[in-house]
Amino acid sequence: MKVKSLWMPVIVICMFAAILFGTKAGTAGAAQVKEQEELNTLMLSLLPGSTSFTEEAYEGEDANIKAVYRADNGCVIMTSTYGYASDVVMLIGVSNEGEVKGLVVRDMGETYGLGAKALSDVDFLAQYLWTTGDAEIGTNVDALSGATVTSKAVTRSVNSAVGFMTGVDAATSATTWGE
Amino acid sequence: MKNRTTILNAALAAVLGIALFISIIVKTMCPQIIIPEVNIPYIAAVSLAALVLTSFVKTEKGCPICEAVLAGITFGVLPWAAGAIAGGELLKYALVGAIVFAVLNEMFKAMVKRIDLAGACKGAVIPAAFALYLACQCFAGWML
Repeated sequence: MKVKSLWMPVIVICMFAAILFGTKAGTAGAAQVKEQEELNTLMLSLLPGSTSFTEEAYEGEDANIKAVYRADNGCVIMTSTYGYASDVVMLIGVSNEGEVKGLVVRDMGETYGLGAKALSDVDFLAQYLWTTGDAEIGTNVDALSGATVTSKAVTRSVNSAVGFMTGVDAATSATTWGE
Repeated sequence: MKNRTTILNAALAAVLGIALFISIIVKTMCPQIIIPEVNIPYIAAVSLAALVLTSFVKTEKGCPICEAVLAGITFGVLPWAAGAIAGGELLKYALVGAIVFAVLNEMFKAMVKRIDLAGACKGAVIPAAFALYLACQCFAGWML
């Protein structure tokens, strides 16, 4: 094979690398501002009645909890638990009484058609509303069909968030398959 | 007639480059949209898209090792340039990208050969590629 034929792909790779690098650098500032705006809007809807949030340093032992945003009537807690193929990052609004007021999956890379349904399956996510740290798959929460591992990751996130508000910190973030 | 390696790897770089460019724009304009992260199913989807596109072009036989090496460079450099992976992960992604691409390339070539032999419609490569993608994402949970 001629070496000449390898040049074209290398040129295309370099060209796209330069375009991507330039675009990323050029949009970094705008992306950060937009992301903060979107986070604020989302948090206001996850904890109805709240007006402003202050980020608080989390010093507990629960590895599922990644960030805490406190308001007068509760907190919005960012959690991250490992599902089937990726981390499931969630924002969970919990009242001062330890009741789940709202939740949303913010990021995940679960299996298309199975675990990815946790993103938008309203019936599944609604089961966690008003729970108080006692959510359990098979007991008071029905798992998504074909996505038990993802469902358990969501459940751990919700229970960790409530645990933070009620002072019952879970000490592990490990995925326990089949439990 | 062009060499297969040239066409395939240029198509792979173009598909991945365009996908990452769209990701950057979407992340800037609509941060609430969840963008797929670069992982094995993502690498598989991009590789299969490039393989499907190339299968419609008549090419001379290429060099599978050169194709895998160039694919590794593509999957290391472009996600890093787009900020999708950290600099320290570049080698890991290059290696995984090269392996996933090499395996899919050989499997896809075998499927295309069978489709040609059977005299089936040329468009049959699209569902065949989709079936390969589904298989890849199911294994990803165990491999990662």
